[in-house]
Amino acid sequence: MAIPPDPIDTVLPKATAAVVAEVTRIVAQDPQKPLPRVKEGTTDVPGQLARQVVELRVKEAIFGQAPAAGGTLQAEKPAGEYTLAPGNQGPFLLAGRAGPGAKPVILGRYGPDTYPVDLIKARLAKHGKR
Amino acid sequence: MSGIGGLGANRPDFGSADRAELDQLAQGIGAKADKTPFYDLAGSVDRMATALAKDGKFTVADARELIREAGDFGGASADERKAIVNLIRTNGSKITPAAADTLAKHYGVQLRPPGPGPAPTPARPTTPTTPTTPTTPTAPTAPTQPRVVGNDSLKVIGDQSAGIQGQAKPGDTIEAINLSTAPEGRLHLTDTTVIGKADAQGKYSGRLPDMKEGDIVRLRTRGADGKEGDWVTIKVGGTGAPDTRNAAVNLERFNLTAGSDGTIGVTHNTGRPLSEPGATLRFTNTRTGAKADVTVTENGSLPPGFKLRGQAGDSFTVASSDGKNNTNFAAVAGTLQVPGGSNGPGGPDLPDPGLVKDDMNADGTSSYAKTRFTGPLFIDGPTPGDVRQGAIGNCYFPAALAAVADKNPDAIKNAIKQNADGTYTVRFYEYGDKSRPKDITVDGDLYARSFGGPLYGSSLGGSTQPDKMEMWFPIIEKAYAQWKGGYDAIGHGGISGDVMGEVMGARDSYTRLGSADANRVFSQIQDGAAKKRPMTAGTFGKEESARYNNSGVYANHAYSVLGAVEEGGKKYVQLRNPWGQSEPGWDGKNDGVFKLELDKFMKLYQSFSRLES
Repeated sequence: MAIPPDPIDTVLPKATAAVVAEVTRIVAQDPQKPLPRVKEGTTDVPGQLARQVVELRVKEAIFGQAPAAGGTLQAEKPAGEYTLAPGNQGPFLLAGRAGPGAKPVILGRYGPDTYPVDLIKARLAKHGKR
Repeated sequence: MSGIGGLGANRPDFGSADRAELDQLAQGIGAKADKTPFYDLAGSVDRMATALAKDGKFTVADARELIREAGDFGGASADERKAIVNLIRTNGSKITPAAADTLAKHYGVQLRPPGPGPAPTPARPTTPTTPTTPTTPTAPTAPTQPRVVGNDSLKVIGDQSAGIQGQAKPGDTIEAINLSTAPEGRLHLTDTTVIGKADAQGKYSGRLPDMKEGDIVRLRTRGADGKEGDWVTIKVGGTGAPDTRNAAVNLERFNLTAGSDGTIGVTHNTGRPLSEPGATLRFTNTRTGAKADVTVTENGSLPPGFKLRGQAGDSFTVASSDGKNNTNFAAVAGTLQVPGGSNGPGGPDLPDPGLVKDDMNADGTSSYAKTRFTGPLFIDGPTPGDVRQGAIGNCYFPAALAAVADKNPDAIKNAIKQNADGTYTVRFYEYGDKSRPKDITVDGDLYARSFGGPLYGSSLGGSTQPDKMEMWFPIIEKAYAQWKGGYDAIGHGGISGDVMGEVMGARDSYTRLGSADANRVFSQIQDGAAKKRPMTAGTFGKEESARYNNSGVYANHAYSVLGAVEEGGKKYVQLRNPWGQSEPGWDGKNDGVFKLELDKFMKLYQSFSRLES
């Protein structure tokens, strides 16, 4: 629905790690429910894009427990306003989860396009991330 | 083994414990002098004394309660420690060995082994003297054991000088939340972070990256089967740093409602902490000067039923203190406004458009209170930079209004007027037909986040305080919502060309960019800018969002088109994001304004609208 991103200072505290990474493959994806059919030119169309599990190749570990550059990890993109495809890249804020087989979840309304990496790095100290 | 002297009759004899050992026990009860106000340690001590006087026993359950009251938060005052020591001294002989052992073990105090000691001191006149045996050599005092707090599933051992360490069931993960920072982070009580895992010996070690001296941290275990253990709460200590972080307050969480009895009900979503457990919040009515203090509960909430004295339209400043910082409440966290007041500032109270359904409680009531805004309609005339989209899916609307403000600000000025009674009347045109005006009158009440910022559309760049915010955009948005049937009716998509027409009483021309000639589109934009025609553009649907990655442009989104320029032999389209932020290139201004090469514009945008005549 093209709602603005939440302020970074409300999202960064939830992150347990952040990496600059590239999507290498889509590991799994829920079925996509049909989006509403609307008149051409309409924006802010409601509806959520399906949950995905993606594999990320890390280019830079920004903070938290994450693989070093070159390593990979799997993360969950929750159902929401964006979808990921192989080749998509950028800064990913991750929230670790407990429990067997749990994968970290990607934070931010628009995933790697929510906040620029410079902004994330500039806010780390404020939130005690390292 | 650690134990208490004088166990010949299976009764502990604190008389054989010297002052230093009792002080060690007292220190183990309270490491800091600051008082944590939300538990009544002195009361617990009184209850222990009463129980002892009644049945002559200080049981293990009593000892555990005393430990829980005094130990979990590490904050007993000097007077409270003295009370505990006196309690133990005056009633030591009535304390069961098991209770005494529990106390000593918990506080890491190893008292001298049983043996004859000096006769009870005169300070314990009511204590029967236990027969003593010949004095035995004094054993050296063992090193103080680290303090342990916790429950059967999780123990925290020692201080936090090296992080949070302790013991749990092997294989269990340890998850934690910093309740001192949770209010600012808008976290739920259960938004925990995994800090470690118990090894084969059950030991774990970890830290929360943002924890500081004095913070309240809550932990629990989670087994491999996902089962959660009970919470353990600690106050971070031993880091070597001073406790300088005061209790934060999240003013967004408050809802104030005026009653008919001179009281103001104060409620909030109790699933998210609004301040640090144990903190004191001071509310000051700015009209009457009356002050009210309240202690935040162990879950970071206000006590149920908390009320203030006041009336609709009153403002309250809110200050907090964790007992260590801002103890005079001089630093104010912010101001809350009580909505309503039918004859208050800003005129009568008119019906308001309903919220977006997602912003309502399950029972249909509003999650957000309304605040009467009385700021100026215009500060420096309508400009596109005034427009900020709120938490509502209607980007088409602010994109359209910013476009009109950019090319024809007089149309905005003529569309809205403030009435003598403080209300506003906005004129729209049905179907963009100038012969079909539609006047909508609204008051200045806007759904707000209680600290003063509107929930939906607001003014960018200046103050969002109720008496200062520039009002034209949020009022036009409110009137539009009122006309169309509520914020929910306008918050699920729309067409910016239609809105431009409804504001100016004209029709727009629509261009599908995929099949259009780029240079022709460029010329259309330049011509439109020269003729002061508002223009907008829309991107493709969200199902294509993957191809917008790293472009700085967002799918399913409308933008204002400000113009087209040629620089260095290249053609560019000038655009503005209605969020008032997030533009390609991240030029540091983060104001939503950017220029895009024409060929990129043609690829990323699906549609272009220009108002005609």
